[in-house]
Amino acid sequence: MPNASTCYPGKPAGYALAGIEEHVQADDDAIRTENLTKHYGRVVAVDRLNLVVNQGEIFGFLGPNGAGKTTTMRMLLGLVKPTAGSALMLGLDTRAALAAILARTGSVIENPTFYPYLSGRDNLRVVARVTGTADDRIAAVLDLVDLSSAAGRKFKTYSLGMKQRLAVGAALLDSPELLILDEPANGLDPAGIVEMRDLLKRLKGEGHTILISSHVLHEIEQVCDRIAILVRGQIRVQGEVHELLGGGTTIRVRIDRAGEAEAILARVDWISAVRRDGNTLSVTAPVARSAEINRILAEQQLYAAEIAPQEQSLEQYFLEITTGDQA
Amino acid sequence: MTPLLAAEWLKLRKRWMARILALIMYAIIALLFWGIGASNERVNAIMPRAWLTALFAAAIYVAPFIWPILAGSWAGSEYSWGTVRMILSRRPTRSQFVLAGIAVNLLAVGIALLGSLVVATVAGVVVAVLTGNPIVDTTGLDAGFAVTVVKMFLATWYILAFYVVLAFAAGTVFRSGAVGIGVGLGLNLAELILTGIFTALGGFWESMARHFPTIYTAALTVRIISGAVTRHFIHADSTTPGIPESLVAMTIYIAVPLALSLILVRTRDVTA
Repeated sequence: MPNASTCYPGKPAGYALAGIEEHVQADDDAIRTENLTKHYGRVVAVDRLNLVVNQGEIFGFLGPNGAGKTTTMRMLLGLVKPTAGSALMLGLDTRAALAAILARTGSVIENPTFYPYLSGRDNLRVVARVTGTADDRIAAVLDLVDLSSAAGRKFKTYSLGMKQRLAVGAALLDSPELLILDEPANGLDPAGIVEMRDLLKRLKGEGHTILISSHVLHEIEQVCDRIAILVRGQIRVQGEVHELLGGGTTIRVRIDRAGEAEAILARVDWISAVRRDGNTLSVTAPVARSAEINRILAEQQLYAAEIAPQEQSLEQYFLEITTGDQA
Repeated sequence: MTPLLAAEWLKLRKRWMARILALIMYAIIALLFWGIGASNERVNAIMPRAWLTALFAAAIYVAPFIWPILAGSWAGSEYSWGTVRMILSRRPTRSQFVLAGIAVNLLAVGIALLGSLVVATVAGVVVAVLTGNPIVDTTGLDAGFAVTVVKMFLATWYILAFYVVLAFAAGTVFRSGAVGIGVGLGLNLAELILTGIFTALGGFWESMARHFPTIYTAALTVRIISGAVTRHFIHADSTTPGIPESLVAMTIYIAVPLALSLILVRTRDVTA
């Protein structure tokens, strides 16, 4: 497990993972890795990764290019052998029970890959035979990913978005408990991205667990329950999206006598910084102490028109975590 | 394994390359029949010897240059298309993945060989009609001829299995269809060059050249059919390896690339 006292770049001491230990029981884990490591020669692709994905959640696996996301996913699926560490998926060890795990897991890794000379439908037939799924599921899946009308066309004639949708369809073919999706929104147009978002939410509603990597952070923010951000093979943060973004350290205070308020707040020892922009103050302090700020100001006859935690976007948060720290 | 074989069979049925290669093989066999029919050996192009002639041609002259294309391409394409990770991230083990690919290629070769018997039948009748011979000429054949045909069919299939496994293994080991095809097709040429060099070197090297795969593939077929076709058409002498010796050698030549590809596929990462 990640150390709860881990410090993060740009964060004050004590800024930690969003308390995975407290609310995750081992039995609830869909995925749990223990010091999972992969070296390619001297290059450390994944470094002592401790990832926990709970059953029934959508988990965003983020990181800049080359951070080790795809390598991690490949290790989970048995495509790449870890140099060290272990991974449990659906309660089973990937080293001992890979076939049983894969029987309950659907995946799309990197770009969608199918046989170019086969039609979309025939490619799904191939997957159905490999997974022992009845052919009558194919029509339903084609319908689900909106490819019924193009099912007879050869895969090589598909647009990138269609290929991506076919890959998601193939991953869903045998109704797996766990879905591992690497960049599923890649190549989708805006409408396709919205459809993908709706599909992921629907799948979650049906009880599927989804591990998803994507650079479309706005979508991740909207669909994911929890995220981890990977930088140079190591998890920098892991926790609930709401807590990570909303549990920040900036409080916005809108007040008429902003200059006086700034001077008062700057003297409070647990407030790290106060920045004024017109009649708005940005106060760097634990969000939980917003009420205290209100009280301190009121005692000086200064009444705030608004005191609110300044929630970051995932994009801002991601850049804050990863900027200047990439390989 | 059965579900994976079903998937491979579906891929084979939909892949035009297998049919095109079979048609090329049939066309070349038909042309060979045209040449044999015009020669003094024309009895070998007439039924029922036509079957043995077609199988011999397939084993020695035609198929070794045809089926490595399918096998090498089959194995290498899985890596260039990236479908290897699509399949292996589902249920099959890596060994099953390799073995199923080889099995379906061997099946394709077997079916194509059966087709070559049909081609031989038609070509044999055409040769007989055009040359004014009886459509069926059993002169000099004994009751064991049917067994010889079956043996020759199986031997030809086994010989082609070597080329298929070699090309498939090369395609798998190098993760490239081009290399798979190149190794499969280049074997005969490489053997020719090496035989020349080794023979010139003499001694140990010369004896090594007598153990190259094509020595045994030729010996196997010649030994099986030598009593059933005319002596000038095919001829075995005391230096020609026997059937058991040839079978053992062929088995070794099949086992080595197969084992190599299985070991590599099982141990290395799938990065395609």
